[in-house]
Amino acid sequence: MISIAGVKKAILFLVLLCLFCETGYSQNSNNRRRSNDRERVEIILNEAESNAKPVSAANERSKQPTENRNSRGVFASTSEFLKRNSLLLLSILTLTNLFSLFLLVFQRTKRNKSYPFVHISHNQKETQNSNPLGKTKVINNQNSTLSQKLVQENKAQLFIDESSNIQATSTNGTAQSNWLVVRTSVAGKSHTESNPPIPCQDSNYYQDIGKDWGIAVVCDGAGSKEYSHFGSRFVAKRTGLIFEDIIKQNDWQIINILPTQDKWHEVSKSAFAKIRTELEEFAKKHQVESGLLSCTVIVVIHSPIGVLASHIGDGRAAFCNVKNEWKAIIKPYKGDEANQTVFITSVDWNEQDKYIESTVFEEEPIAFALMSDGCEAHSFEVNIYDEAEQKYRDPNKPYPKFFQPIVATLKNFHQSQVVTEEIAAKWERFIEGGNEKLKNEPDDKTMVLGILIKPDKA
Amino acid sequence: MAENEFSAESPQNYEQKSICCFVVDVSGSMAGSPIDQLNQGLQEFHRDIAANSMTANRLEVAVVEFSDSVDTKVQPALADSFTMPRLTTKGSTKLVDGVREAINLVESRKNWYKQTGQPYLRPWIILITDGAPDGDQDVNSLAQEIQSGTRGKKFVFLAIGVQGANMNVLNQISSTDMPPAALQGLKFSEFFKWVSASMSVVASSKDGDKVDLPSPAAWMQGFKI
Repeated sequence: MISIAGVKKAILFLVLLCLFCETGYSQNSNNRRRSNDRERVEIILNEAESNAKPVSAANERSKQPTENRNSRGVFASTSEFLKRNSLLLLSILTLTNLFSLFLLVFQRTKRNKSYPFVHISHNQKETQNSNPLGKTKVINNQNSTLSQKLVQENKAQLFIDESSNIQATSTNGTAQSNWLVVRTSVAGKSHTESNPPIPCQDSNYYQDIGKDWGIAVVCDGAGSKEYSHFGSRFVAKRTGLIFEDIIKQNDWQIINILPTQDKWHEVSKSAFAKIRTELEEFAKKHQVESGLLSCTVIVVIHSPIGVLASHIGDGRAAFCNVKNEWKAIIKPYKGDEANQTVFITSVDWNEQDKYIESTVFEEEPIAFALMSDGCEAHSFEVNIYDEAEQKYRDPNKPYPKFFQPIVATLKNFHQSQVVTEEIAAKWERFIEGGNEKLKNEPDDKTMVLGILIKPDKA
Repeated sequence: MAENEFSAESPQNYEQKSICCFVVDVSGSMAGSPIDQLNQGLQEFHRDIAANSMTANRLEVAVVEFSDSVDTKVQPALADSFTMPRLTTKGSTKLVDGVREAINLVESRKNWYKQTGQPYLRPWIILITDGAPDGDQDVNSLAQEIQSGTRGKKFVFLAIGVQGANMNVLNQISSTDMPPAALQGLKFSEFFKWVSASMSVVASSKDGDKVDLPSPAAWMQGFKI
């Protein structure tokens, strides 16, 4: 975003330059007029004189322009240059002025498209205005530059890989994996139709860590927090790497054993505490309040001997066992109001057990899925009417008619040797608008889907 | 048959609810053009929310009118479950009683949502008045109730002053996060269009603390670009 102060300074400078050139132009045009008059007089005089000196008359005329030239050094020549070309410069500068003014008005219009006093943000400074209606949402210029700065720095930093948001992977690590994983994060309708558009605040991550173990992560940035899209990207990647370390440190892969429920919960809590500290350091480094990077986080680890899951906030996750039964593996945290949840930055660390849920399922998975809440109503039963109880409730049930066809389709694509980039593109199109409900979803949508492709079943 | 794209069926889930309660001044001073324009706006609002798929299934509407007394003209209901009445003007301005009735109405509706397990969003209470409350109305206690209600995230309160409204009183009872707005002339139509568009955003909102509403420039006095 262009800083308003900078635009104002630029306009002022250009106006002064315009005035200078106008003076030069009017001087120049006066000079030209005078020289034109003089030339006309000369021509008349020359013609009045005998034709014997046409050459000298021409010489006289050609000398004319030089008479006005003064050699007064570099400054003089620059000044002369400006004066001579002042009409062209004037046109260019006028157009630039108009463009800058247009930008200025356009920026203000964009900012005020949001109703001012409903937006409550920690980083805003409200203008002191006697008319309460004039309280506009002033986006601190520093934050705008910071936003750009964050984008640039994030792109340079390895642990924020924007391209990782849309990917299909069949092998990602050193060993050949029997898992095919597709994942995507797409901006919701309310984000794309917002003015200005709000970036997708969801992020995802997957890493095959060998021996058919893999780590999948989904993060959902808080809607009200200005930089939550950065927060969710940061947390997604760091969560994946930190949980990979935990698995290696505990030798679970080597010993081929899953932790107990209690042990898994303990390591999850300390992992999330570490990730939160890193997020706070990241925020401090960029001089941003860490709350503005708020996001939820779900981590799912699949292995041949079972599935581990841990999360803070909402979203859904499930796996499919060898009997083709889809089972939910987390219960989203919902506040009183439908769109309220808890974030990694808002967890009261004295009450971690209330906000962090960790689960262990010792059943071999043949597929798994995790998603942000934008996809939950389209793939899970989340709000049904129970006739017997005369109440609505959330059964938290993966919808088989959603998962079975897409698993079968993914298998077919693999067997037909469709290239991974093409599968990834199809997956993205599906989540964006694969049916009417997905298409009309206002919220950001992320879904990671993994299936086991055993060579003997190929 | 080889599929070229992913496709799947989604389950039928009930939608989360949100509720918007209008509290309308039908005192004598609203007679004539103001009440006519307001009624027209309400009718258009009803049509708009019924036509919008987001609000048709999610937004419940209630209408409370006040003059000498308070009357709930529309109990909370989805667009296709009620007819928008045409309001008529009567006597004085029991504004405090009217708003209090609305606060109680949305609170009991929220309790019903909780009891029946229905997910819901924060209710909106929109007051429309062209005057000042009767002398015996306890504005201070209402102001406290609204401040604590909005601070406690129990509801969102917006006061709209029509020509002749006592904006000082409206300022007093409103929260600083949502100061009162003055209507340009009798632009009820534009106002209600803004409300239906805003409710659509609210009904699909991700986070209760921030809603990026459309610009109120078309109907609000003093809104500067």
